[in-house]
Amino acid sequence: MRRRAPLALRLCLGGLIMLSGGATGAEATAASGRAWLEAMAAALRANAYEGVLSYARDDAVTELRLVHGHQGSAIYERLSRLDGAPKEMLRRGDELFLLGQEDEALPPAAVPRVQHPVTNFGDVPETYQVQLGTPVRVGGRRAQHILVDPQDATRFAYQLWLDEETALPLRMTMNYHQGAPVEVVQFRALAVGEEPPEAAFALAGQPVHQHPVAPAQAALAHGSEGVALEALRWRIAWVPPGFQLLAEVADQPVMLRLGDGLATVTVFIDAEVEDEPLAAQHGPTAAVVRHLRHCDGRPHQVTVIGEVPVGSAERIAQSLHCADPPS
Amino acid sequence: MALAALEYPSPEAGADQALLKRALAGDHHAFDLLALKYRPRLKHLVMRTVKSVDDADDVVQDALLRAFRALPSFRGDAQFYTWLCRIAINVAKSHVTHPSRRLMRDAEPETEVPELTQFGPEHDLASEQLQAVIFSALQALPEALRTALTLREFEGLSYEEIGHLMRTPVGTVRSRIFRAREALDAAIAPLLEDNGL
Amino acid sequence: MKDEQQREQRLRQALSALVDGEAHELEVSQVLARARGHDDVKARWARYQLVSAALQAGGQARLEQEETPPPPAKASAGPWSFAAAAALTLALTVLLRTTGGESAVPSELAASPATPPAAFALAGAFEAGFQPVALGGRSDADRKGASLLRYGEASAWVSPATVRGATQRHLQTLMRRHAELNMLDSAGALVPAVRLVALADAP
Repeated sequence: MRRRAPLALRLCLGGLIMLSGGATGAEATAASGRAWLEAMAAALRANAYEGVLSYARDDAVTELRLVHGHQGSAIYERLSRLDGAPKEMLRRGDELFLLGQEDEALPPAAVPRVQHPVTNFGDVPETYQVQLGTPVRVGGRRAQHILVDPQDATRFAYQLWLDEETALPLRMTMNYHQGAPVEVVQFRALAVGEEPPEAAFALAGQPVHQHPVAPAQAALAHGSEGVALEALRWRIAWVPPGFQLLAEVADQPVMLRLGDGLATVTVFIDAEVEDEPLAAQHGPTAAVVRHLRHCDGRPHQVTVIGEVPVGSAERIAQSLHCADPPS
Repeated sequence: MALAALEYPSPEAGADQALLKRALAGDHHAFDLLALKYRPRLKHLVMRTVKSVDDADDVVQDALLRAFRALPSFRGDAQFYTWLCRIAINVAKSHVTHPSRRLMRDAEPETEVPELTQFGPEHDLASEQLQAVIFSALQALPEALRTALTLREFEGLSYEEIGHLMRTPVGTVRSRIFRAREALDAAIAPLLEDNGL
Repeated sequence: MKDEQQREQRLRQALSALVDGEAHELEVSQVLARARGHDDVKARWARYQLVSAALQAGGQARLEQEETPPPPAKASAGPWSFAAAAALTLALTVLLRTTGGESAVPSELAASPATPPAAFALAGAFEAGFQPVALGGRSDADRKGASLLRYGEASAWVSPATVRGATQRHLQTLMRRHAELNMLDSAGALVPAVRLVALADAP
């Protein structure tokens, strides 16, 4: 059964065809690329689909199963690891569950919220250039190749291969700017069709540790007045082009969330731990640990973690400083 | 959940283009090759409706002739085989409900009727024996040949794509697939010998 | 005579390429010219097509009967396992062309690892110039706990060769927290969820 693409998607692609007829070549290409990405974002939400995908980074490959559907207007989704220790994400409308083994439980923490969604290919910022590649075949399907280029080495580039018929992403990579991939997400099998039954999204039986994650509407969390004030005395002098402060949580540790709509970085500032300093790149995710002194002279550990090249994470860490002028 | 898998374009969909272009330009022999390709499948399709093998042959022949006449109206937006199927199904239904209606081949003399080659009933996809021989021969192939053919027939990859995967030039891919086909052809030839193929 | 045999061979090869839609224009003309009045060419074409159709039709039926092949081995630092990909192409066909009857059973997460899934071949994602190579570059020296770092295209050792277990564990916790926040903030985007679920377990 071939599922008709939702109206929004067809309008998007219809607009795409009109655009490529009217605008100049380069403008049309850029506009078309963004239109394709918007169509992809819409398709991922609106369609019901099930698939198996592989996720590769460094030298490890993991296989996952994805089931995506709707109950009424709410999005339901289940993403499960198919190898290694069992782990699952279950989304039921506003509820999110991370299911895993007992010892994977994370202590609940205040969850900072952001105004604009991250990793939103539907709204690629102007600091990236979007280009259409040539249509190719992926997994036996005709796919539109799209390149999202940061134009400098401070951020990663992205490549996507979107199914021409459904606009669903068949393959996505994150690459060094003009360089090798650091991450590949690829559907090995995909089926689009009827809505899965509600039973497909049921919580599994025991033994399972459920870690309900706070729903998206949670308010920005703040600690006491004193802690919040201290958090605000940190300043970051350098961020990659286009990055903004998305959210901050004045807690222990302080968490600052930075991002540009595609990539995000979390800066943890902790006065109570002392790890070894290090700088590492784990596939797409850089991790840098440095130690700085705050305005009051106390040492703090700054841990910068994000989907940026490690050099950018290092630079963010080094640019963190006390807001107060030295006394 | 009963999901319908994506209707992946069959590997041969792109393969029809060269012949289709010439058939659309009026080349009978190009159409004949396409007809030869799809005849067994169309026969299987109409057998669900007409029940008799002889009738199925007649219906398929009729459908192919009609398709040839209707070629100018083929827009090329659907797959050629899908278009053929629709014609064949219609002819089959019509044959069942109105068996006395004249078939194309009995049509008026001025109707252009190309000569379409037909081979014998051994060209039967359902033949388990044929499939067993083919798969046995496939397994016996040297690995490089088997892989190239498998990637082409099962994955529908282009020669260029196969070349990337196998890290060989396209010419080598082409040669390997050809040699694999020759070996399988040699294996099934005895089964089709009676037909003079 | 030898020339004739070579010509014959080339024609048969062109015919094979035509089956796959990979024949050059000139070859198509040559094949068609030869096919006129030469039933042997048409007969060979018909046999090639028969084999092709039988492979595609039979492949699915056979795989449904055969045992599930083992899952693909994790790729080591090096090119994607080509042999594994080739061996598993058949399995992919089955999944893609099977319709109906597949129920999405919710995962039963138990203490023991999940049963390995039916194998899925590489979907063969290719574009001109793409080389399926390993990502990153963990060498033996890397495996003591550090990572090879990159600044742009240059690779440089910066991190310490060994990192304390406590540091590793704390870092793992923070990385998971970061991944969790990304998933929460992603409004349902696919990749942040994939990263979180795929995140390696703590050492």
